[in-house]
Amino acid sequence: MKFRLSMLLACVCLVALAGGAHAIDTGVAFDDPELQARYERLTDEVRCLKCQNQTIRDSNAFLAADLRREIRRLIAEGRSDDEIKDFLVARYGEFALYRPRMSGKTLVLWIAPLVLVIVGIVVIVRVVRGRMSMPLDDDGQREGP
Amino acid sequence: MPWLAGTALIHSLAVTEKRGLFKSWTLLLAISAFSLSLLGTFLVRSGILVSVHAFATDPARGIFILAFLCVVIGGALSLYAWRAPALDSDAGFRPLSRETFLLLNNVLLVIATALILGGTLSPLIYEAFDWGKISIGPPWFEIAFAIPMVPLVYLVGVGMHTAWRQQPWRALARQLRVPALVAIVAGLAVPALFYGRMGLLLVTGCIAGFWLLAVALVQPVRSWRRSPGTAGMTRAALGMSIAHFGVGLFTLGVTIVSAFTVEQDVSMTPGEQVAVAGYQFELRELREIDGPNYRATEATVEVRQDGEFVTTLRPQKRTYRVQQSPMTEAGIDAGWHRDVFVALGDPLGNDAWSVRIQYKPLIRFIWLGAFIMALGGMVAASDRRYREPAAASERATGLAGETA
Amino acid sequence: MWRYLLPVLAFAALIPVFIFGLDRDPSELPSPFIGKPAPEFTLPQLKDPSMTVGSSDYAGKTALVNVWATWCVGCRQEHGYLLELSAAKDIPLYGINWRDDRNEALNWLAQLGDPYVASGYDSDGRVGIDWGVYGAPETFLIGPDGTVLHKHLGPLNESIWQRDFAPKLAAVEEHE
Repeated sequence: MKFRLSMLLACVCLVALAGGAHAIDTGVAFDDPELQARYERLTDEVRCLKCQNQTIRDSNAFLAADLRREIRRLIAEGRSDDEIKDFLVARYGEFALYRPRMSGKTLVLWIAPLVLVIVGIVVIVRVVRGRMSMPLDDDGQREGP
Repeated sequence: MPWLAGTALIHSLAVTEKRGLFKSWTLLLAISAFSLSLLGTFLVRSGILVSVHAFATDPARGIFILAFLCVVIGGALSLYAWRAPALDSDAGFRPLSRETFLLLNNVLLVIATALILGGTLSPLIYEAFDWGKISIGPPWFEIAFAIPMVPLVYLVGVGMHTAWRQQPWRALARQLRVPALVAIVAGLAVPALFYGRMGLLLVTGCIAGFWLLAVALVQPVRSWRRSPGTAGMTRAALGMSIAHFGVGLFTLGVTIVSAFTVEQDVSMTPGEQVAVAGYQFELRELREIDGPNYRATEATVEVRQDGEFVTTLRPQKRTYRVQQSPMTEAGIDAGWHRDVFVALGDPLGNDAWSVRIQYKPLIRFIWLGAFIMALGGMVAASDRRYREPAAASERATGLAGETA
Repeated sequence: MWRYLLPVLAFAALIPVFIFGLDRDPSELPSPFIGKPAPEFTLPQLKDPSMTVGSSDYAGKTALVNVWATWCVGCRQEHGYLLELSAAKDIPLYGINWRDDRNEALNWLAQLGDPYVASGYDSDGRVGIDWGVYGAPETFLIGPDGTVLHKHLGPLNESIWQRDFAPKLAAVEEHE
């Protein structure tokens, strides 16, 4: 089995997760509630690249702490949410964001639910139309609920 | 995924049992439910996905599991493709009928299952076709899952009171008037009065939850008030009402917790007090303790509400001796209407620690709702029609005759 | 009629995807810098903080940048190979000492040998983030025009060098 750095990291993260561990910053980041809300929202939407199933808000990994620090710095510098996301994507790729952004590639993901619902409606309409004209009386099965 | 397919299966079975319809749906759902649990085994043991659920991953083992999947799932689905077309029958139903609602049930649950499956596999598919590495996580899943499930929750209430074959809509509307009114009033009042906030998703969820609670009580209440001599509810019908009542509790729990959860990270020193979500938290003391295989810093936190003592929580930050890894033991005060959660973060120096405090309203309803769903299932399964030997053989010949 | 075939066909379509997946590490991130200019950096040198080391030192040359730390098991594993590499090939090897303790890093190099032209000391990880580093060791191959030709995550050895790095180097040399 080839060496997997990821497995080593996963072990560390699993151990941390198993105890319900949460990463906690040194106190509240911003006094301004709006900035604090932005900070919490952004850190909730960025994946910890080391413990890849946690957000950087929750991860104990030092990389998560570093990324939180960078986000604090960028917010304090007055960057917008989009600029901050661009900053992270430029360095780590789209994978860094928990919520895929709209782009040609990810369009499929976002319209999939709607497409499936439309297919579902078509199926229902066809079945119901087909059965409407069939006889209601049949040699009855058991009495169900 | 197997749970969703299985739920669709038990409902589709009702139609197959009652009217001999939806046989190929029922078959396919049964195959899918089992196949999805096999697939789950493959996904977490093969190492092809990044997942907290993955353990002891080994691609060599993965190949064997995949081979097993090909035989079982491939075989079952091939058999289905070959023989299912022969299962059609000639029974009909009108647009407003229980059959239609159960068809809706099937379709919506299948959509939800397909979305979760698609979402889980999409990073793998994108990489296989070299479309880059994409990210998919809770933000996408929550929205995608809600799209079929929210309509489903509303439809459950209507469908469970709809007759087989055809249902006069006036009678249905009359039955559902009162529950609908109760649902709308409660769904608007509870968030506004108890939690002080409104919002579109919040109200939609609350109305849905109360709708199910109210609608699930209609038949039991009517049965309870019936004149002696008239037939009461069958266990199957009672089980259905109980189970759907559980879904209502679950829905309420999820809605309220998602909307009103409060999470705050604060820095505290012994003697300091903070207020979060209407509760006051005072860090009384910090001390070092020795556990069987760990050393820990334990905080004693007193929780009060409006000055009245609620409880004492003792969160710990442990360091297990062998692994030398830090682990957090949270202090949780559980109650039917809320959980209060306190956890230690990191020492900040000068005796100060960062502390995470969470307030989770109605989170126990999620567990309670699921428990009641299970209870409803057991009540339904104990219905007499599954236990009468004569009826059972009649049922067997009846179904066998259908599949010719 | 054909709709009954859909499930088995959909399953059949997934099989090659699964087989593909079994052979790769799902947590590995492709670097967004491949084919793009490498990030610029300037760091105080590990051995002599009054001097700096950075991207300007290898501008116009083919170079290797290796992210390492003393707490990283894989770095220990590849260290021997890095010593061979820096001796045998004439590509300069620069190090970024990532989120480490300066004294421990100096001891490590003193004990095990120093394959680097110079190592920068990235104490707060800022440069690591700029390079999209998320695990150590990571090794970047930079072309003479400053673009990132390849990034490898994990310990380096001869077979990986031959498989991934050598072809890219050959392509560069052809162009020159």
